[in-house]
Amino acid sequence: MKYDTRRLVLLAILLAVSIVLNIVERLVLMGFTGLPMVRLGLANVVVLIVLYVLSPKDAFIVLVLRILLVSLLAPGSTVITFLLALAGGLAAFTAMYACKRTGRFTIISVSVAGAFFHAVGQILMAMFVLATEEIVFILPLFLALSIPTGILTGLIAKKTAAIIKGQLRSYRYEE
Amino acid sequence: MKRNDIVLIGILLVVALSALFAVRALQERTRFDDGTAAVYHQGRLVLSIDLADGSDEVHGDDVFVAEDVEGVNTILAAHFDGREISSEKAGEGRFYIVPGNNGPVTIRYRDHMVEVIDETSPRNICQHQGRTNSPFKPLTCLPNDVVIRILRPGEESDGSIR
Repeated sequence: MKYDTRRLVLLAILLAVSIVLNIVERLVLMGFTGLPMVRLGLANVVVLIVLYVLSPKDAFIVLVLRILLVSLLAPGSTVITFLLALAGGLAAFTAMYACKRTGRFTIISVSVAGAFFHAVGQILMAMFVLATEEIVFILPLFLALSIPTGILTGLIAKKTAAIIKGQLRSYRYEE
Repeated sequence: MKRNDIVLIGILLVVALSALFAVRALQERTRFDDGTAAVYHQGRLVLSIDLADGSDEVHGDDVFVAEDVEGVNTILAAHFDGREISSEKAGEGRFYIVPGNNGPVTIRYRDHMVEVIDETSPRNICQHQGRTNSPFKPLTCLPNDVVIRILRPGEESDGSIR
């Protein structure tokens, strides 16, 4: 796939946005909602947008780079949090890609599937890393929380993807 | 949303809620006031707490126990160079401080149950897991690599889980 300058710049901006969203969400939103266990997954909005506006390969690159860079930049990150983020991110990406590929679902349920399997991936990795199978009993709570957060991030991604697609079309028109 | 979306989200919702109610019911039915809370750090057993009376068996050099109720803040703060735990968080009970990857993890024993009341992590999930005396409700502080498992009466704790 050819990466022209415009495409690279767009990807770099979206990657930067996803990193900032991830860190801001950690620091601000949890305190604001008063529900620290609930994370909206705003950074995943960017992966969804790239999946719909650009390509699955670009979305994968943004996802992996975001996880790597946030692990290096965010306060309180450890090897364990990196592994959890990686497992959750890869599981979410696989679910979103598979759902999108069927062509039967809108971006909202693709987002919900991503949030749902993000929780599954994280808990499976936690069971492996901590060698404690009882951790699986936390999973249902995270699965239940993933549905409303997935719907919300899906709605945000839908609106934002439409705007970005419009912008890209207008740039091409001006050339 | 399309019909397919509603079906998919509906299925995922049913799966999540069914699992949630099943686990909650299991946790309520398997509570042991006379069990043992086994605390692990980096897979190694560092502390055992008898849930019957809060008596402890310390397996690590860097585990701290504060039995006091009044003045517990002073003790904890003095022990950790000014790291204070609010009186609201501390409350009554018996306190145990074990090492975590991000700093000390404070555990409170009260009414035959244990809970994590203070630790450093991005989401503080283990502080919000509440109290437990059920083997099906372990407390896990992932970034700190601290796990609290509840053992049934008579069940032996493993010295290492890895």
